[in-house]
This record gives sequence, structure tokens and C-alpha cells, in this order.
Amino acid sequence: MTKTEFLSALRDELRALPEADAARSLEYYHEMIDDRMDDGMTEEEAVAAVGDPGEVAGEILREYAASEEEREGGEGIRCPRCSKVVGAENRFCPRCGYPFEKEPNSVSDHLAEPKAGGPIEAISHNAREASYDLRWYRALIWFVIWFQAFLNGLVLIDTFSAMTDSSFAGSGAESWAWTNVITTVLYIVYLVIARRALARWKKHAPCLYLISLFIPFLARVAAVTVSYITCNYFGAFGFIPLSADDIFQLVEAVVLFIPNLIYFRKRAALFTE
Amino acid sequence: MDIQMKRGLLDAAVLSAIRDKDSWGYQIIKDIKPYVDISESTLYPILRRLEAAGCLTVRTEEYSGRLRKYYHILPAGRARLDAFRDEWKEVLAVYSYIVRGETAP
Repeated sequence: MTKTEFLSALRDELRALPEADAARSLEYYHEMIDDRMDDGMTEEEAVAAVGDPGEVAGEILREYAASEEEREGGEGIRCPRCSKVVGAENRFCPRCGYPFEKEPNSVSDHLAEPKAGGPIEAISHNAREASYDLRWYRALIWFVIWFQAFLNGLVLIDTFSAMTDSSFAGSGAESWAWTNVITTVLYIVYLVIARRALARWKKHAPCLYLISLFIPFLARVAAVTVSYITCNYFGAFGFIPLSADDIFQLVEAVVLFIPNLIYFRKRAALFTE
Repeated sequence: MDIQMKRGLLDAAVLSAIRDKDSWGYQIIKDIKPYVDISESTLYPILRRLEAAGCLTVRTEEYSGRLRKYYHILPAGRARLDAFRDEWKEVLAVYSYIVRGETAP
């Protein structure tokens, strides 16, 4: 049996559970199979070691029913078919599978109702979220961040070597150089923070990462616009056309930013536990 | 081993597996397995129960391109381990009463 077959069989068996509980169980078994495969087992062996989906589901449902019984009364509802008292958040009776048809009694309840498909669809949606292969994308994010850090490192070295030049003192460039050093150092610190947030799967990580792409982009746009206007309209240096280098960097920033934005919007659920 | 006895022992074993540093599901199983038989489906409810009791917290971290849950012990979990250690003296006293007069094999 493949991992996908195991997980979809398990998902099927767990359809009576509340969505969040089912999704959590699926994530747990998914991780277990992946870890066994990382440990050198084949997919077949790893799935076999975890057990039969029917038995695993039986265990989960039994444990769930037991924890429901331990729950204090009051907030529960009674199943009309088997008269078991269960938590009010259930949409199906965990013992007999009877669907509870709850009337939406407030606007938020109404909004929380799934548009279509019901809990089974919702569970399979959750499991799909968790099973994205993030490997290639992670490599790209890491590359972008480290590459930016590297480029900024070069800018720092450049600035420092200019500052040690004999003609530097008294040239009026000190304030420019120090601004450059401080902003570059702050930017590198920001990149490190964004990288750590991504590694730890924080809620705000995509935002930090996208801003880290956008900061150099905005800076570049500002610099190009200012030099374009001063050169061409105030005539200090005669007419200077936009260089290919500038245009290339602007295009690159747009090309990087938009797909990243779309990617993170689609996978927002991964970052909000 | 008797199922009732095992249940209490497993709770303590899981807490002790994450006592010194955070760990993840499969690693916990590998750590405990030499001492007491435990499977995925046994560990899952234990982790849920300990989490609900405030003995540990879970965080999701990215590991080689996928998500993995790491378990972190909380003060209540450490307190439970301490309690287990103290109770053990009583258990040993009962044990020596039960097996009194028998010769060790």
C-alpha cells in the first residue's frame, strides 16, 4: 500500500470525527510514514509498520470516544440515534456516524458553514494542504534570501574600502557612507529574521519574506526615478537613458515578487496553525 | 505487561523522552521502544492527553521540505515526572511485599 492510499483510506475511516481532530490524526500518521522513510525504509515497509488503516482508525475513534466520555456534561449534545452525549462541536456522532444538522443561529455560524462538500471534503482539503511538497520552493526562498544577504555584504565591503581611501576624509561623503553602512547592516539583520521566521513556520513569515523582496525593489525604483528626473529634466549631466541594468533589476523584482505573493496566498493555511 | 500498569509508565516514559530536549513522534518511539513496547497508535493518544493536561506543547517546524511536529515539555510535565519518581518508592515497597519470600529466577 502506498502512503497516499493509506492516508486516503484513513481519512475515509475518520470521516465521523470533527474536522480538526481528523486532520490532526492524518498529519500525525503522515509524519510517521515520512520519518520511517527517512530512516531508510521503503514506502511499502513504512506504511506496513504503521499498521492497517482500519485498525489505526478504530484506535483513534475509540480513544476519541473515551475522551468525549471524560468530558464534563453541559456543553454536549445527545445523538438522536444512539443517545450518546458528545461535544457540541461534532458534526457527526463519533459512535454511530449520525449527522447532526445544526441550524446556523448567527451570522458567524452561517459564514463558518462550508460552501459545499461537507466535512469529508473539508478533511481531504486539509490533508492536501499538509502534503504539499515544499522542497523546491524552500530551496528557492533560501537562495533568494542568502543571495540578497551576499549582495549586501559586497555593498558593505565596497563602502568600507571607499572609506579607507585617502581621498575619502573631508570629501563630504561620510554621511553617505555611514547611511549606507547602517541601512545595509539593518537590512541583513532583517533578512536573517525573515529566514528564521520561515524556518520556524511562523504566521508572519511570508509577510517578512515578501517585504524583504520588496525593500530593495522600492529602493531601486526610488533611486532610478530620482536620477532619471534630475538628469533629464534639470540637465545637470545631460540626457541619460535608463540603463539596461536598471530595467533588468526592476523586471526581476516584479517577476520574483508576484509569483511569491501568489504562492504564499495559496498556502496561507500552512503558516496559520 | 498489564495494560493499566503500562498506561502510567508510558506517560512518564514519553515525558522523559522530551525532558532534556524537544523531540518528534518517531524519535520518541525509537527512544522508548527498547524499554517498553509502544506503537504509533499508542503514542498518539498519549501525546494528545499530555497536551490537554498542559504537560507539553506542540510546535510545527519545517524539516527537509515537510512539516514535523516537535514536542516540548512544560513545567507541569516536569512536575509529573518528579511525582512519578517519588511515587516509585511506594511502588517498590508494594512490589517487595508482593514478591516477598519468592526467590529470584
